[in-house]
Amino acid sequence: MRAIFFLLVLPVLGVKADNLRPLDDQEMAGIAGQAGQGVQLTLMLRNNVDDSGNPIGCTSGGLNPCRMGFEFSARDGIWLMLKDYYGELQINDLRIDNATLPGANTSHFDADRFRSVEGNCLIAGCNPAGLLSLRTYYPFHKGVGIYNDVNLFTNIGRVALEYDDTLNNIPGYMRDAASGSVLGFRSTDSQALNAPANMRFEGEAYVFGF
Amino acid sequence: MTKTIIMALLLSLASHSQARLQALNDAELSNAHGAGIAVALDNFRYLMAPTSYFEQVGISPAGACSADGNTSGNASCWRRGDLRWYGINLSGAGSGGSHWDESLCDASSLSCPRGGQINWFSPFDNPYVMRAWSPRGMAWDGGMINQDASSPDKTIYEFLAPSSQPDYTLSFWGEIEAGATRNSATQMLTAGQGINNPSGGGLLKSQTIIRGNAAGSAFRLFQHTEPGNETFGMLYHSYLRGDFRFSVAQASGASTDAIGQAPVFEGEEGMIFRNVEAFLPFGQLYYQSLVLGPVGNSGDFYLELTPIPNNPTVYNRFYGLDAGDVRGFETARTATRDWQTPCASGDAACQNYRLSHGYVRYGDWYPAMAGWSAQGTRETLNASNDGIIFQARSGSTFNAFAKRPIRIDKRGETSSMHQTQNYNCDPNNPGVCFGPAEGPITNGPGNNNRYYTTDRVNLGSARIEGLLINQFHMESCRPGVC
Repeated sequence: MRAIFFLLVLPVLGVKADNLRPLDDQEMAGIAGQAGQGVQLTLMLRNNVDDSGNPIGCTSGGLNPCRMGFEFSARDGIWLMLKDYYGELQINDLRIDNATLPGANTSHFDADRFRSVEGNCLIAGCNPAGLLSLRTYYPFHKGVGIYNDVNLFTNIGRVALEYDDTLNNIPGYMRDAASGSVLGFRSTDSQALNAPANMRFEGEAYVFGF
Repeated sequence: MTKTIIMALLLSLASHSQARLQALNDAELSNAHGAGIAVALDNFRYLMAPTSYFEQVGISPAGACSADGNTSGNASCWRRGDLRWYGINLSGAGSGGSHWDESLCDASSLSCPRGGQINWFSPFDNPYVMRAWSPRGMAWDGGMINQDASSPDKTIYEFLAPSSQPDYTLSFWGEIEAGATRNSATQMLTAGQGINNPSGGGLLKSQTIIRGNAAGSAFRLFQHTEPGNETFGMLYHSYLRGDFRFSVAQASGASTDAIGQAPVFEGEEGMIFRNVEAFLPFGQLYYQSLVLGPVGNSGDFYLELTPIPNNPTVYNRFYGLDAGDVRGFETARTATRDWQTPCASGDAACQNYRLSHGYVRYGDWYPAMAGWSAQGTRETLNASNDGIIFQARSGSTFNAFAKRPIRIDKRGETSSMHQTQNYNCDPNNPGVCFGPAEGPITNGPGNNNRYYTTDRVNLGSARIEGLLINQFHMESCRPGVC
C-alpha cells in the first residue's frame, strides 16, 4: 500500500507546474492499483451498546440518550423519533480491489440504462463492457452453516412523533412527551439475547460510476 | 508517514501557478457527470442464518383480552402480536440448494427454500443503479419540470432495479406470535411466550418462497411539489413476476414448534400462485408522493400517498386518457385489449396510462372479449402448473366443496325461485366435471354431501387490471391513545 502512495506522489513532486495537464477520461480510467494490491476491511461499529452487544442505559424507557430523530422539510419542529435505539454492525474481512468488467455483454444488456435525460450515452457506446470497476467480496466464512460476513444487531424500542417545545426552547428530539409506541423493530438472532443477525454474502460486487 | 505524504501533496499543489486554475465550463461539467453508481453482482447469494431474524415487536394493546375460550374475557378484545422474518435469502432458482437445517434440496422447484449462487443477479450491463439526476415530469400544479436539461429545476435520488435480470429465489420462514408478554429488549424469545399466556395466544410458523424477479422496480426520493406541503416524498413502483408459495406444514422428522428454531417445511403443501405478474405504482414523480405527517399533536403520524390534485392537466395525465375520451371507458377497453403490445413511440397517453395503472395477474389465462380472442391455457380442476392452487401435503387429501345456501332469499327456503344446481362430478375422475354429462342433474335445494376429495384444487386464473391508486392514508395508533 505504501508503495502505491509513493508511485502516485513522487511524480507529482518531481514535475514542474508547466508540465501539468489534466488527465482525460481514458487516462483516468486507466489508473489502478498494482496487480495483487487490495484492501481488506474489517469494521466494527457500536451504537449505545457495550462490547457484548448489551445496551447501555437504553431500556429504562423515558428520555434516555438512545434515540435518533428525523425532521423533514415542511414538517418543521416535528420529529419522527426512533427511541431506545441501539445496536452494532460488524463487517468481517471485506476484500476490496479492482477488476475489469467482461468484454462480452450478457443477454440482459440495456443501453438505455446508461443514457442522460437527453438520450445521450454517458459512457462510450452506452456499454460498460471492459470498464474498470471496484470489486468487493467476502472471501472467508463460507463453510456449511457459517454466516459471518456481516452481523447486524438493531433495536428500535419505540416510534412516535415529538414536537419542539418552543416555550421552553427544547427541541423535539430532546423530549419524551408521547407515551407508548406504534411499533418496535429488532434485527437479532434467537440463540442469545442481543445477539446480532448473522449474514453471508457470496459472489462479487462490481461498483462503477457513469 | 501518511501525514508526510499529505503535506507533500498540499505543498506541491500550492506551488502551482494560480494562472493555470480555471473554472470548468458547462460542457466540461456535464462530461464529469457522476450520473450514477452501478452495482453489478455476479455469482451472488445472500443468506441470513436460519435463526437470525427481523422482528416487528408489538405492545400490550388497550382492551387486551383477559381470558381464552368461549368467555366474555375473550370477546371484542385484542392481543399483542409479534412478527418475525427469519433466514431471509436471495439465491438461485436452478438446481442445488438447501433447507433451513442445511440439508440439501433442489431449488429448481418450489419445494426448496434456498438455492445456489445467481449468475449475474445484477448484470454488469443492466445493473442496480443509484443515481441523482433531474428527470422530466409534471408538478402538482400541472407545470412541467426539468424541461431544460442544462438548467434543471429539481433533482431526485433513485434506486433502480435492472430492467432485465435472471429469475432467483427469495424466501424466508416466519413466526406469527399472539399474546406474548416478554420485554423483547431484555428477555430472550423463550421467555413470555404467547402459547403460555393464560389469556390465550399462539405461535404459527410459516414459509414463503418466491421464484421470479423484480426487474423494472424503482424507488425514488424527491421533494413533493404541492404548495405548502413541499416535504420529503418517496415513490415505489413494485414490479414482481414469478411463482409464489406460502406454506405452514412441516416435514415429518424435521419439525419443531420451539420458538426461534427453524423447521424443515413439507415440500408440497400450501397456497401457490403461479405465473404471477404484478405492477403496483405507489406514487407518480413530483405530483403524487408517499409522505409522512403528524396526526393530532400527541405523537401519532400518518403515511400518505397524496391525493391526485383536482386539476385536469394533472389528472388527465394520471388517467392517461386517449384523445377524445372523456369518460375513460374507451381508454380502459383499448388498454386492456392491448396489454401485451408496447405503447407506440410518441403515444404519451398510452405511456402515461402504463405508468399510473397497476395490475395483478395470477395465471396466464386471459379471457376473450369483444374484438379479441382468449389467450393462455385454462387450468384444469387440479392443475399444478398455473393459476391459484391449494395443495395438500404429500400423501394427504382434503374435501373441497362449496356449502351453498339452500335458497338465496331472506324469506326462507320455500320462498325463493333461485335454486341450487347440483352436478354429478366424479371424485375419481375430476377432469370430466366440465363435460355435459355431469349435469346439472338436479335443480333444487343444495346437497352438502357432494364434495370433491383431492390433494389439490386449482381456483384458476385471476386478474386485476387498471388499478389506480388515487389516495392512500394510513395512521399510526398507539395503544391507549386512539
